[in-house]
Amino acid sequence: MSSFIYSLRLILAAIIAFSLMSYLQWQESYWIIISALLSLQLGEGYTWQKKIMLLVITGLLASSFAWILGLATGLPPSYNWERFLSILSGFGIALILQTLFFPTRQINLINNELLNCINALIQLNQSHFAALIKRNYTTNIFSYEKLWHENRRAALHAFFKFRSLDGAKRIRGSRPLLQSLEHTYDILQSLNHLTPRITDSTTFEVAQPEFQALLTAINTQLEALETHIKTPNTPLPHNTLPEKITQLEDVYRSALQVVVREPSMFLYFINDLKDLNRLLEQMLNTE
Amino acid sequence: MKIHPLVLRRALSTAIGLCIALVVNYFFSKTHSFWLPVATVLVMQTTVRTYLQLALLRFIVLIVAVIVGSALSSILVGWEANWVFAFLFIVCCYWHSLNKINNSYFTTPLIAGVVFLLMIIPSETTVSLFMRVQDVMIGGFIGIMVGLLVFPGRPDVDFRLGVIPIIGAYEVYLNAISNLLLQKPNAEQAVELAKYEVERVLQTQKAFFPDWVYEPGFNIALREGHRHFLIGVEQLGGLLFAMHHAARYPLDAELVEKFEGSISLTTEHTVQFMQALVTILDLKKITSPLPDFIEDIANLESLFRKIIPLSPELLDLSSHYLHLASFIQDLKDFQKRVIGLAEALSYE
Repeated sequence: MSSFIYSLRLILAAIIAFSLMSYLQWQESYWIIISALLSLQLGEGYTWQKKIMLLVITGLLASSFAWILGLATGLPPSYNWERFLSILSGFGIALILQTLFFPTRQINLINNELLNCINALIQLNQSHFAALIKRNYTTNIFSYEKLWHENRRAALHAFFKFRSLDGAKRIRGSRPLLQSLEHTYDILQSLNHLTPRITDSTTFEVAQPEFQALLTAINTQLEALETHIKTPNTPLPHNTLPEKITQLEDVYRSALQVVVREPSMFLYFINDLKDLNRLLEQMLNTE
Repeated sequence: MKIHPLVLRRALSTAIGLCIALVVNYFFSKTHSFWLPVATVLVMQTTVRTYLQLALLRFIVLIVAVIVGSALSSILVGWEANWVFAFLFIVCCYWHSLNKINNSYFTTPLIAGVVFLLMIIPSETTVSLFMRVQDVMIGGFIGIMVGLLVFPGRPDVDFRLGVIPIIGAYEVYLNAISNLLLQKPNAEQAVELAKYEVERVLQTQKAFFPDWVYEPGFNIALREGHRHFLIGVEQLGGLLFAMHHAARYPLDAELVEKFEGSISLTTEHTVQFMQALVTILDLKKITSPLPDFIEDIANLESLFRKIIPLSPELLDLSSHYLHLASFIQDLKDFQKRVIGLAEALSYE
């Protein structure tokens, strides 16, 4: 959605700039489109006031600089004047579009960043459980770590971008949710340590159906959160995660505790799963 | 304002390339327009990894975009051509925006977009395709040569400069997490700030996280060692995040009191070891002796077993104990990884 608004704003800017260019027919009127398109990229994530101030100041500075440069290089006065006005017009177009699109854009930006965070968490969860289910960690540690790196980078980038968003009451309201998502990320990191800590990866075979069920249950909860952010009145799906954790506990008692050389690692894993379940429930109920 | 050496070197290299391009443009350009210097600047906007490979790719994209643009401007006339270029520019920008996380600002789609945008300039419509391509080729050649000869990429130095702030941020984060676990005053705020800094240094756009070592085509001689080291650094981060999770759990005050001294000492020694790692990465000599923190963790574990005599494998163990045990395990693994990194450095 955010990319759509971004493109729509860009297309509108291009159409207005081109229409103005064709109407004015100035020699230097191509500066309208250059300045309009470039200035639209300014101040991503700023508050409305800051964004407007930034556009006004940059517009004035850029056009004045072009004017002085024109004088210094001996550009004919009419051309210089046309260039000055073209740059100002470009910034004017960006100013109008920023004003028109700002409220929708800002809310979409916040939701979009939150959705990006959740998406990245889903990917992290998937890649972690894939290692448990396919037991591919030891066969190619580099490719696993590379995939984990990509997903981790996406999650941290989304968190960082959200934190960098400035002002707006809605952002302040979303901060607790962000903190909970960051906590979810921490738990997923903790869960991920099971794979390298278990020396004999064949022991994961004992709990294959349980791991598969846990993966689905966690992702269902995360997807429910995603849906809830997009459409707040959607009814929540039944949380199957506690049942799946209990099933893994049963497997732990009956088999893993005896078979695995490092049973405590599974114990920490189960404890982390319980924490994750509590956190996800809390997030869904608060949102 | 402190300028990162990598940025400074790139800026200087680009400035020198641009100066040469402007001089050549003045004397030898066919179009006497902006194509030659523009080609030089665009070709030079690469990442650290493999300059030649990436610069050549940009060079090819630039020539293809110029040929396509010139062909379109000869087929279409007047405003039709402008609308088509505007459309192509928007498509390229959208394509560029999809590549959200990239440590190079000028991606190949954006280079093509810039070429299409420049085609709109009225004086450009009369210039022939051959002249334009000739200028772009000269400009691109200057860009590639200057990039290779003036302040060429130093993957090893840039890698170390990228890793040092990460380990520095980890030190602060580890201390803050330890304080949070031990329920020290203002620990929550401190840990949030430290976490934010860790998130920042692990970015490629706002910081210089050297994940270009993972990219295909990176220097074969350095690839294995650098990738191994960076994976180790990332695993350290993962352990810290896991420890942060364990430390969030409000432990019983009595339990905290029993472990306070031991955890503080282990954390302090680990931080000292990490500082030594930074010193080595900074190519300086270590002056103070390193603490024996392996003994610390053994003491911590034996203390844990003394205080919690039950088998830790039991499922009905209290959550307080489980979180503490998990934290100790993470700390132990963290130390192992730090030692692993130190060993990797000693091989170099």
